[in-house]
Amino acid sequence: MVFSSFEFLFRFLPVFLIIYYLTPKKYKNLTLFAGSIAFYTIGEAEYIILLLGCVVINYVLARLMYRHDTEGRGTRQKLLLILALCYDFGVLFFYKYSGFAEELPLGISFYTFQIAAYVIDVYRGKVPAEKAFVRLGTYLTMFPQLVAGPIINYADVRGALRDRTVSAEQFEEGIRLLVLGLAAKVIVADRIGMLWNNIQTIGFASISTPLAWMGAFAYSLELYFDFSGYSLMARGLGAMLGFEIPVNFRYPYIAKSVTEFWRRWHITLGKWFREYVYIPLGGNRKGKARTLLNLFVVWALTALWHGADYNYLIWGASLLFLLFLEKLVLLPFLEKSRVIGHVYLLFVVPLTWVAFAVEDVQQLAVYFMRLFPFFGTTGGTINPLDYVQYLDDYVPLFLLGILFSTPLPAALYRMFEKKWFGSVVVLVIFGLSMYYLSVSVNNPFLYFNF
Amino acid sequence: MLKYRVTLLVLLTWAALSAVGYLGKDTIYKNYKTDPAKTPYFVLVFEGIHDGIYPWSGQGNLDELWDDYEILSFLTGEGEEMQQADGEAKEPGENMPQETQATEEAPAVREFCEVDESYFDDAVFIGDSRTVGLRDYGGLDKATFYATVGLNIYDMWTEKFCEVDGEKVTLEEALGQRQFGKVYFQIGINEMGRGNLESFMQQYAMSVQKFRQLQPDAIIYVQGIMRVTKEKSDADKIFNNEGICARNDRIAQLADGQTVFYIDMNDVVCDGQGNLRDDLTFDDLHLLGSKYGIWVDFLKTKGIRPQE
Repeated sequence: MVFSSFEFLFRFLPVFLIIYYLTPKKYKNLTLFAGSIAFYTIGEAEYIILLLGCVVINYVLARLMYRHDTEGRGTRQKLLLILALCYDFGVLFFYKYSGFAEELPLGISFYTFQIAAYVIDVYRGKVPAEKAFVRLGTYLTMFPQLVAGPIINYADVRGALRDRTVSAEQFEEGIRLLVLGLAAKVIVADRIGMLWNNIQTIGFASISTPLAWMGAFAYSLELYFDFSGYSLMARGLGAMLGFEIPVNFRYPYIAKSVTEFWRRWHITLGKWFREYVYIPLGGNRKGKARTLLNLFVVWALTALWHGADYNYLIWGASLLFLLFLEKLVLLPFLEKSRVIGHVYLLFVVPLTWVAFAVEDVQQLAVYFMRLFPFFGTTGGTINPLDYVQYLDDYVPLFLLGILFSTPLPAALYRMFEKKWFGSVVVLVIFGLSMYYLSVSVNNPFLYFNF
Repeated sequence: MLKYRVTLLVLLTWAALSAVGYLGKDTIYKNYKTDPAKTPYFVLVFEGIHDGIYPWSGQGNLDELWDDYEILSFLTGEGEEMQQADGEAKEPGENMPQETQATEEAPAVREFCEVDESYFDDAVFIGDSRTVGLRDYGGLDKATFYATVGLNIYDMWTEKFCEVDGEKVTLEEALGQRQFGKVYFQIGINEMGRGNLESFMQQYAMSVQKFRQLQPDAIIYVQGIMRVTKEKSDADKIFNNEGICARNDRIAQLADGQTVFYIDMNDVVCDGQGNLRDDLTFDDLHLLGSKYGIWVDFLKTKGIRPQE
């Protein structure tokens, strides 16, 4: 059940919210836990055991770590930590990389990272092991962020898990975020994504170079609005339940370097790798060579986390190359520049996304030959003016996407957010989202015409 | 109260539009299907808006909107001929049925022959996105194309989609301005979820008659609708090869072997089971840009020599 479905928004969510608000405070976690399990079961019943197993095992192992407040960090704690991590990452590895499993259990990449962070934090003494099973279960399975993040640290929501209230303002803010996130997905991402779909239908071998570039930009915008829209919806849902879910995207496309871009893109994942891999390895405190090695480890794991296919390795390697280049040479120059940094970023990042998008490495090579035709020809039938029609069709969406990739609309919105006008704007956006969702959901063929 | 402004507005909109959808579900929205367990009734309202049906649209003009074929016959004033054409189409027969009107001596069926690319210089191709693909990737630079994505049999005579001298005009206007030697026609996948086989064929036969009127000397090729892949066909209740074949069988009956010919590109793009080959398509529905040559080569085997 995706957030941008009628089933979720107008069936599951209202029913759940009514039950949730009627539940006495003491049992709210239980309701949320049960609701999340229902949410997961509707989506993918067969892996619910895996999710619950993850909660049980980590709950037990964390509880065993420090049985008394006075107990210090020793071998037993270390062994328990290793055991927990082996189990968590072992399961992830089995389903994601071993090739034995047919499909990836819903949300496993995200919840594995959350629970691993939890046991590491318990081991480090940063947080005490959670004594209430329901509380830990509520944390890990919480449906707003279960499927695709943001990755939340237990420490950040520990307080809210114990005691939380939902004020009128919070709920209202939640609805706003939910609507805006939904709009990002259905008004921008899904529609500009059709260009990428068209390009695949034509076949990479047959697209003109301008169309290849349009495709790279369209995919970049699609990915951003899809993922950041989803994260925004998660934040909205969290607010409606009384949780503060962290910001996951901060206008990544206005960055002036790839280094900065990745501090603004999927922030909670970057934070996870920094906190649990990069810094434990020594971060940048052990000399330049060690820093580069640490970066290498982080990016190898980041690439692997996204998927086991070759194209993700190529994607990760290209990012690593750019990060090295920036760290060693470019960064001071890029940061000082007013224009070059932006131009550079908007040139290289879409190229890395193409590698991210195209799983078949041969096809990826073909795409790059179309992007840079001087590398060689692909032998397809190319219509050199194919982009003209697409330019006509997609320019408004591109402009919309570019505008909303900057902080300008949000700044403008903040000026009248609390006024009637602001509420009406949100309502209009809601109506438009419902329109696009309606015409695409029941009959995709009205939408994706032949 | 003011603290909940957006919440209230959203809830009110949801309730109001759902009421409209619910009240109209058996009247103005009767042709849309919903599953109330999964979708709210307001979806009907938006779907209607998309198709030009507004909550305030009266029942009267809606019947017109829905019965597309009636609208068309009304517009073109050819109701009677149309029925006749339909009767003709129902006659059993193979690819080349005999004339329905009893003729003393049926002239011999004209045979196909190999032709080169210049054969298409005076041809016009009419159709949906598949024909658009042929235009863009088929390399037939001298042929004329009146095709647009999403074109369907019910709207093809009312929609202004033909570009003539930089202006968009209706098909009737476009065909009225220039005489072509051949008319290639392939349509029928977009409207599979709309109307039924009979309404489709009625409309189709009428369109062929209209070509005949507007292009009295042209050879008319009615092309079988290209099938979809097995994966798509098996998974889709509407857009499947069973439905396509049913239509193609009927389209084939329109051929007379004299000036109207049925050709079926499925012969060269399908596998042994009659499904579109996987390696020719990404989306299970369209040929990849680099594969349109197969269609062109097929067309080159279906030339008709001018009569002595």
